[in-house]
Amino acid sequence: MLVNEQIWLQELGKGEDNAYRELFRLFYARLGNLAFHFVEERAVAEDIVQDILYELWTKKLHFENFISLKVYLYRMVRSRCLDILKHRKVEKKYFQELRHKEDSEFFLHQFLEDELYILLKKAISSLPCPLRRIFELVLDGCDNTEIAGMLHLSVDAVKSHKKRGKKILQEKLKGFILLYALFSR
Amino acid sequence: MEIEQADRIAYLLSRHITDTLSSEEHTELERWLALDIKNQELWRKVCRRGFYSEKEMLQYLYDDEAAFRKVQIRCHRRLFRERMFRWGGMAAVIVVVVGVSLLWMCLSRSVELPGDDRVQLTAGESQAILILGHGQRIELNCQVKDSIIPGTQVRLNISGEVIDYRQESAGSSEMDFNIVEVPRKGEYRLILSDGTKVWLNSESRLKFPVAFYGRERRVYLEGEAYFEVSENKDMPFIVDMSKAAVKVLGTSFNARAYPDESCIYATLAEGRILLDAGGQNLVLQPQEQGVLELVSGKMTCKKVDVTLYSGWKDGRFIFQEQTLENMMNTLSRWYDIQIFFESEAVRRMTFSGNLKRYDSFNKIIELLEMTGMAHFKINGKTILISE
Repeated sequence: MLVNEQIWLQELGKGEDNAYRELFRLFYARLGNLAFHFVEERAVAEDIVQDILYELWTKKLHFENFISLKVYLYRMVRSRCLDILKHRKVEKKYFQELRHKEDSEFFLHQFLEDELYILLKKAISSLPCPLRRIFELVLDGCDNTEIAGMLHLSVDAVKSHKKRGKKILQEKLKGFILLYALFSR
Repeated sequence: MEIEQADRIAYLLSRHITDTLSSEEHTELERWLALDIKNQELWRKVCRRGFYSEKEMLQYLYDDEAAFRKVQIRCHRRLFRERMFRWGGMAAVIVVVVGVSLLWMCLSRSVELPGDDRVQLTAGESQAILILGHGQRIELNCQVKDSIIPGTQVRLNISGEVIDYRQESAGSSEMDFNIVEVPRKGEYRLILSDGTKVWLNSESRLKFPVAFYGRERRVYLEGEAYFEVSENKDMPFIVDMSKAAVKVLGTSFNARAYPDESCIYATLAEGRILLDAGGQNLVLQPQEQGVLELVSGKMTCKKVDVTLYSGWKDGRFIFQEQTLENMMNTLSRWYDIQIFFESEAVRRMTFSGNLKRYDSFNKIIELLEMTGMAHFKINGKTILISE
């Protein structure tokens, strides 16, 4: 996985179409959603993200690693959104709203939620089919009895599936620590 | 908290939610929680039931493929322009023309979906029936036709998806009406003789004069259509939907009046319209929707995201927190299918999403089933939806 990521980052730096297709697939929805939380209009949010990705592409910006790319994109979205909010009508209620959104906590919490979702999604999709369904229900907050009922299994079967799933997830999620350890500054 | 730390916390939270935290990680998470009450609020939010599936559905609101294509075109255009400046002269122009057509060829490559052992429920397409003044019916599929309508000065041009009425010169005073009927699984576009553009959705019918005379431009609609009305301050444009009418000067809006639905809707994109129903009327501003409830006669107005109601004309179905029942009302007309719900609860399930209108219904079922909330059983053209 490491090697592929390096190659992909290089291709991005060269402005290769396929690499950018992948970039959109990975980030477009998350960045769009983040922008939406600032500007509260989907069309505006999408324009902002498209402009940022367009600039990245034409300037052929190069990134050392995945984290720095991610940080750059999130920061760009935030600053562009705040610019737009500042240009909006300067009325009293907008002032308060702007303050709240300028607060870095607002931004970081959105970022955190999105990242969490991505991690969960990655983890869950790495599970084999029957286990995947069980964990999706776990994520939805269902307890063992509810899951057993929905999937027509015994509660014991659910428990043992969960145990198996957790073991796999333990291994899979470990991979993420490696990434962070190697890529953090 | 910096981005890198946020990343770390997201990782710890994912461990917690999947119940795979190590004891050191557990301590680290506890420490973060104790730091700030806002952290605890965030914790409660992400551990809440439904957090994951809500986020799942938001993904579908953003079409990364369409966005990529849009940006790709912008980039390629810019690269061509840069190259052209470097070359200069006539030769450069030819390069650009050739480059652009090659680009279009690449972009129109379609992606093959893996085989499905279920029956393919294909999307609708341009099809309609044109009924002329004297009753003659013409089926419009991929026809091309260009002629003057007898008795008028209006030229009729049909080309596959659009019927274009062009007033050649001020002519007779006869009010000849035509009707365009769009069946289930169909859609069609018209350009009326005053230049007004109309998009007709499935199971809809528009009756309109071939040429506009007199003090108003009145058309009759049953079903759903999107209008871009050309401006004419002297002749207001009126969409008559029997129980209600929309009066316009020049603007873009969506009108919906299906006989099997309990409400009439008018959604305004740009301009100003007046929604009129017997005694009541309502002036709409852009991004507003007026609703007339037929049973109670009540008229209300609310602010909306217009793309949710007009996305269909641009090839998309856009839903935001829509009940499955409402979604299926819309989809069943386009795909010409019958839907049955196993229970009330299923009817009331809500979804958000941005779907391609030209995708098969099977693809849409795939996306909906991925949320794990509903299950679809196909039997020919009948669909049964259960939890």
